[in-house]
Amino acid sequence: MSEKIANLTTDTFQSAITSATTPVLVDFWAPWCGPCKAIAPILEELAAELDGKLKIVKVNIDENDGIAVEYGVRAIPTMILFKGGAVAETLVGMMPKAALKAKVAAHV
Amino acid sequence: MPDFSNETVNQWNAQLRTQSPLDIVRWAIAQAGGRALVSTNFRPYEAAILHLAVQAQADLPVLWVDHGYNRPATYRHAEELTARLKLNLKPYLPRVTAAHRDAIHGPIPTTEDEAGLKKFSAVMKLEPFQRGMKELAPTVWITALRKVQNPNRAGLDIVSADENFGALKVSPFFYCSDAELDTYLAQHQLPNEWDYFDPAKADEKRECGLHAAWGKKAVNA
Repeated sequence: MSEKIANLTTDTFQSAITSATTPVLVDFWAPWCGPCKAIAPILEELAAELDGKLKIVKVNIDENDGIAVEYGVRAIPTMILFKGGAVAETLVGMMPKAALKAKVAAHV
Repeated sequence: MPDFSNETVNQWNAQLRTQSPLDIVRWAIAQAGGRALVSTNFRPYEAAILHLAVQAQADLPVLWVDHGYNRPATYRHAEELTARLKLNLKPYLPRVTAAHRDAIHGPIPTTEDEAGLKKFSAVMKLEPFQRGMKELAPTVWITALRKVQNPNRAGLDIVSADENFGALKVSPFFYCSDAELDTYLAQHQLPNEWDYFDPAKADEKRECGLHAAWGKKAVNA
């Protein structure tokens, strides 16, 4: 895990989303999910490439099921982009880096 | 070319069901008359089938279609395994380079562009694979195929007769779980590489569905 991607919990989630000065991409994941492991390095790269324009955070749904339920997460990875504290985009599933970057860059 | 009747294949499957993956791959090599190969794409867990296969035959040809769009980590993993296992690697590349294709057709088609993705697959994956199988002409084709990867595809088993290439397809890890492969990798101190994506695999699992209970909770929240 790079220092650019924080792990959020039920306690830290709301304040992290509302206090952010840039859009925030939340990666809902679990340790047993293969596609989540495949997208993790892509998110690390994007966190570095979009540093300062986008904040990327992770929520382990095994440990924080409340947040996952609240946002209707039914499959993982689900990546939700928050802008100004509100949901701007929801992306589900592994995808090529170029596709993910394009979707995210449209908002930053 | 030997003709595999359904009855024969069924008998083999029944017989092999209780055997270890190593015994299955040894059996497969014994059927091949010196013309077996293993195919790989260096995705997660492939280290296991490659390690297993070279236990049975050290110089077994390894057919690899390098479509040109692998993640860098996958290429490093391929190099590491090739060196460590002394693989007799047979890479087959498309007739057009990734740079050329990208310049003419733009980015890799997404899942929304079915026709584009099909064409991408045909040129960058299927043609080189068919060329490889034609040149290497195996009688036995060993794969890492597992039931858990494609639960919706019925009719697959450890052994099947592949009509496309006229070979006997053998999948020694067919009934193995991820956990069992984790154990295999750990036992043999093999690396695993999760940083992998194949854009041309339409039926590859891109997400993990959560339990029905989750779905209910989300609906009622």
